[in-house]
Amino acid sequence: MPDEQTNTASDATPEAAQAAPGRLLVTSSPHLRSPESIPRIMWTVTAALLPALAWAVYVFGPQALVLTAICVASAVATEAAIQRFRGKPITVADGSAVLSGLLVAFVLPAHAPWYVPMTASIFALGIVKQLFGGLGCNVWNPALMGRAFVLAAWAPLVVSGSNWPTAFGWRHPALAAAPAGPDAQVDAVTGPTPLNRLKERLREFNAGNRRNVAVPTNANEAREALRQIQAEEGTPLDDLYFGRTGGCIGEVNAALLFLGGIVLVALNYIKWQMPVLYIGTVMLLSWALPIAVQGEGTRYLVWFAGQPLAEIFAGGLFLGAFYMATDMVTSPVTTRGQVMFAVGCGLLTVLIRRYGGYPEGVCYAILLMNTATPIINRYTRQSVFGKRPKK
Amino acid sequence: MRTFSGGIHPHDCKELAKDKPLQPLPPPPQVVLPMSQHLGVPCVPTVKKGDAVRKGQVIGQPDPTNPRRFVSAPVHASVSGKVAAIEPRPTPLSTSAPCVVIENDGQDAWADGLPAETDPSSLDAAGIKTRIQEAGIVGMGGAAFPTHVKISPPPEKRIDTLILNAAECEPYLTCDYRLMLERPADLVEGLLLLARTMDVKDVWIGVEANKPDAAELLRRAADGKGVRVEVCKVKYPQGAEKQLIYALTRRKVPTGGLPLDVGVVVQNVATAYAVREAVRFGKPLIERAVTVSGDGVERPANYLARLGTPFRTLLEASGLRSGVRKIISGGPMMGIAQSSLDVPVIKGTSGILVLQQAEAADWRACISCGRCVEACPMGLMPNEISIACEARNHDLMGAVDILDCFECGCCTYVCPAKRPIVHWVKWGKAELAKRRAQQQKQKVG
Repeated sequence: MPDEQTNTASDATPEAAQAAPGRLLVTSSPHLRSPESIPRIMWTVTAALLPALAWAVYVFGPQALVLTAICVASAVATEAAIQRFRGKPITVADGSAVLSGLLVAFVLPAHAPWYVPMTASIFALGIVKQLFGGLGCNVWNPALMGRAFVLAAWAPLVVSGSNWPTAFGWRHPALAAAPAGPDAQVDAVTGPTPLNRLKERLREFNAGNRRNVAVPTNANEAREALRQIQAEEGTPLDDLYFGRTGGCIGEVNAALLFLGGIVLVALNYIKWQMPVLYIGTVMLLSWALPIAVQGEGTRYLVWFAGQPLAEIFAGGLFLGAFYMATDMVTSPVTTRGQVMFAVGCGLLTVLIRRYGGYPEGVCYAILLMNTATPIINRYTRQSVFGKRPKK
Repeated sequence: MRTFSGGIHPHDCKELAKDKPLQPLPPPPQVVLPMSQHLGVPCVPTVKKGDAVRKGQVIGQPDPTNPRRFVSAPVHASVSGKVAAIEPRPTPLSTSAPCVVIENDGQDAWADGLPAETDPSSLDAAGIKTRIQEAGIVGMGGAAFPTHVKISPPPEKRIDTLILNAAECEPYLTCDYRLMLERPADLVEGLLLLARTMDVKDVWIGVEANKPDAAELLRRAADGKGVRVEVCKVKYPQGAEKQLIYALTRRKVPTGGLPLDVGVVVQNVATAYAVREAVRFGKPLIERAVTVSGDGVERPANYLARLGTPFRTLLEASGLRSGVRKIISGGPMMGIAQSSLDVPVIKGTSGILVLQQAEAADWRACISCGRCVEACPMGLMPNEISIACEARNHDLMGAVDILDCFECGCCTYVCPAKRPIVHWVKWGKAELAKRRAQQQKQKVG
């Protein structure tokens, strides 16, 4: 028969509720808890990313694994060090630091020098996450902030150098199918990412370097010229979808990211609205919004001429839509808020990709929407049962 | 299927006790009868230490000088014997409250002067109400609001709908289910008696879909009597008053309001049964069906126990295991954890749950996953409530609709950060009440 313990006073705070072992535990209802927990969520999301990591090692070689290890190790070490310094419980076992580190690696190119991933990871966990109070208190997605930081610090190492494997002399045969430009050998080593190729070529064309494409003299010819450029610089869709292309470690294989994302939706860890609306918005707008094509003296705006499928499979969109925008801490709480968030991310992504200075817009789009999350939360609270709207 | 929005789907754990028939538990050698087993004005003892009392005799009445004494319910002796003590004892609701302790003489003799068996059709509405009031009947689903008050709405409120709450959505609990299986005709009779007191034509029974056999029996018992038996989706808290009303009638009780604001009165299964016993047989409320379940007992069971029976007696009858960590009065979602086995069964005790595993979990910062928001049947933002209370930010606490929370526990059940949201809500409500009292004092001063 258990011993008895005096009741905690009815107005006691949760902090006061405890029980010595072997005695009856007196805590507030409910006395049932679901098996869901932070570690379970974090480790499951981490597991959902492993196929994409395996693919990265397959196409980019062992260097991808080395870089990932650097990121994860610095993330865990940073979190543990800061928590220790602050005298807080060390929570690295909950998987959140590991997941953040993994995501930092996923948004960096495989052959970046060691100090780039390390800096990104330390910045992400130290400044963006722990300085704001740790898990649950950060305003921005740590991994994306890590990327944004090193992108500002070492732009050339993060953007233009983001490509094919050279480390250990390893090179995957699938890359033989990689699109070859006029300078095939160089392309195969450090060529631009699919999104970058098209953007650069268009910029060159508009600047006057027409190469083999005729100068348009009317709107129809401008459309034709654009089509020609798209055909020459485009990457085959299946290569984009299945990750036989260049890019950051985790972003190349849309198919495997999609697979992991489906699992997360099925487990109710993310809501389907977020990826579907984000990707859908990008698809629609990248098809519809105009592309500027420079003719002789006249600038033509070609509407409804984008390549929606190429745009959604290329770059970090699947990674961003399934694993970054859905970050619980930095995205809105209600489904209604998440819908607004997703559409906003899609809009900003297309605007940055098409009209901004960067080839890739996912990172900044999500970070900007993270900034808007508190205000979205404020205006998307659900309405209280039985409450009449205020007049 | 009829339901409400929000809610959760915990495993109902009813398989432990659902097949155990209601079993009368022998009256214990001593009963402890708290003077306040209900919401409203507490009773004062009408007996003295050493008095001989008989079963069914009134031992506590609301203080006759209290102007609000209508909102109360008398307490009756549940055994015959001698008043052994009148003193504060621990009860399931508080660490210490005035109780009358009766030594059982084993005679089990009924008191004189109780109403004789009556054909209820000979009674008018007022007569039925009087019997309900005199029998001390309260809502037996847990809240224990005096039933005669509930069926006496102010004249400006027209009641057109009466609902029998047969959802029994709390996991583990099966005492209502057993009453439905074993005494469906009695329940329907009790329900129709309640309907007569308010002249209500629209009478519903709402059953959760996990009790199809009970729904079928009720349907047969109610056949041709103008009672609609409706099956609701299995979802916690389907049996919460506002959610059940919405599921069946699509009416929303306004915030801060009562069911009677939308013309509805809800009564629980055990209450309807007690009403029938009181009106037809003149029996005051001295016993009730109690489920004993959980992994901490060898033999989960459903008992008919005398009010005042110590939990210990029921648990011993069910074979209490060693190493028990938690004992709960009521169900696992809204029940109250007990610190003592000597608290008595009272009018609102629907079950005793004994758990071997229970830990006071460490909680983490809110990760804004939104699960609590989806689960909240009241459309609240439990994440904001928990953050406001954790920060002791009283201004914020006043702005997050804490008072609309009825503490069903869905938010806390789903929280992956294991945040004790319901505990904060209870604390927050008390804090806000204190603050309001202070402000009023300042205004007066």
